[in-house]
Amino acid sequence: MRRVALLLTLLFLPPALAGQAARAVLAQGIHAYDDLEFEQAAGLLRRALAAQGVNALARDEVSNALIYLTATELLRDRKDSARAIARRLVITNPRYRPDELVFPPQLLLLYEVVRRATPAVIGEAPADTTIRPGSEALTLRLYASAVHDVQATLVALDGRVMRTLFRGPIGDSLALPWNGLDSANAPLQPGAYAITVSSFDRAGKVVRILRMPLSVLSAPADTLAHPAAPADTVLRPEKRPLGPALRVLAPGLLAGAGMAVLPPAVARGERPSGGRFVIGGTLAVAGVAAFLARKPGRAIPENVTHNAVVRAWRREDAEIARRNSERAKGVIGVHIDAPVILTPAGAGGP
Amino acid sequence: MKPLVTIAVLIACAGQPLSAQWRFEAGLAGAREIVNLRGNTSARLTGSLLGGEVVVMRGHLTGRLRYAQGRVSNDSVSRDLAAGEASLGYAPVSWLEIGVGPQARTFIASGLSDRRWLFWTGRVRARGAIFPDRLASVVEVWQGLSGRLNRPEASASGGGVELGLEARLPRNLTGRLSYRVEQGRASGGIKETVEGFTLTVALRH
Repeated sequence: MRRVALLLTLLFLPPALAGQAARAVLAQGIHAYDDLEFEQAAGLLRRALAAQGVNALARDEVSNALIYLTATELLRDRKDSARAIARRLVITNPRYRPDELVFPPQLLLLYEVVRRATPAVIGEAPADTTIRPGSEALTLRLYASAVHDVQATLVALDGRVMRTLFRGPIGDSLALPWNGLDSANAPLQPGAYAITVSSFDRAGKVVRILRMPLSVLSAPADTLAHPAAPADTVLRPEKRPLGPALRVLAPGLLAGAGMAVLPPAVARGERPSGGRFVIGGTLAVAGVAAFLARKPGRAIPENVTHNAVVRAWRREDAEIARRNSERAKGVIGVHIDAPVILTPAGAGGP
Repeated sequence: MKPLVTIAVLIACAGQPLSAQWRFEAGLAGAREIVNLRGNTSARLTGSLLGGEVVVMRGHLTGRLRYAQGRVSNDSVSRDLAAGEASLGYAPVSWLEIGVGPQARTFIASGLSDRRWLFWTGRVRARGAIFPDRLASVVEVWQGLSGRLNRPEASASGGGVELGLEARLPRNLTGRLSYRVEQGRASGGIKETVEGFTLTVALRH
């Protein structure tokens, strides 16, 4: 029963613990190398590198295991094996450089020779991003093992070359921008593509291909929310209008003037009573008072404040509408998967 | 006194509900009048009149009745005076009314037959708000389209104008203070000019 329980425990061992087990084997291998137990070190290091899936070592740990294995094989006087392992290290991690304080000079020399003789690149790019074709660019960064010629192309899955991104020498690293357009400067249609980076040897022969699967998606625009509208968005008059004031002034003034003019015109040959001017004057004064009460032309502070709020809201709303319109114009989403390194047949492998 | 009784009855009726389209106004008026007589002799008489008015409105149409009576006199002469008018008007806009109707004014002197001026008139009445729903000015101009004077028998012409201010008072009351002047003219140099200051209080319904 104990064996069954142990088996079950191992089967359901959490991945992190499994990874820890591979790391422990790596540590034991390094310890054996330090103790000059090269036979044992080679076995332990190969076991650590053989771990797959969730048990596999991380990228830096793989590089560490490979360089220790290279040194082990070199010190065991198995130079071909050491070169092959070093080449594998160069291809999987072109930027790796062995620690000069840890490893002997012959290992450093061998690795340098292999590195220079093994053209390889690795690429890094954001997994998911959005760009506006033509005005923005996605930058792919390439890291090389040594100076050599490369050609980077964007290809469709059927092999058609959509755009050649770069052709020329690469030193330590290279930034490779792609603006989302094909070779005809047309936006790329949504679909599956790949960026391939071919490394050439001195004879101009493709020795390695880095392939990064790429998907172009029609990305939904990341729109900004419009500001909340005020309760009343209609602009109000900021000054008291003159028209209504004139409309109340006119009846009083006209009736007052009529009181002076009309009676003499009607009562021909008579002199109308002056008492009528009391009523006429009252009418005129009332008209002027009504006019002044309307305060024509005077600012209405609450309307001025209201209009300032409405104008600010209109400006902000228009600006957000403009920015949303700008954002929605032709934005595409780009998803890039993990790169795969291919070595053409006859080009020599690790 | 029969006309005053009639007006009182009409004012009492103002309290009764009418159809929603109907509007009704009835009021009492007191006037101080100055009468200038010109003809073979000239005289200036002054006195007070008491009367009333009834206005009925429906839609754009307006019917108006006015009546007043009293006594005017001077140091040597005294006359009873009765004046009335009726008009039917049309208001194309809320502040303007155009109307037609008869207008009569009769002087009664003991021992003599009555002297009556009778006109068929055309009228224009305008009302302008000064303080809306509180104070307004009122102007009315009329012109005689045809007229008769019964003693001496003669055709007559004439016209008049009334200007005033009208205030809305509490309890559906309206107060109006106005100045009125009108003149009748007949052949033979007969001319009669009447000026009046009138205070009217009316009930609106």
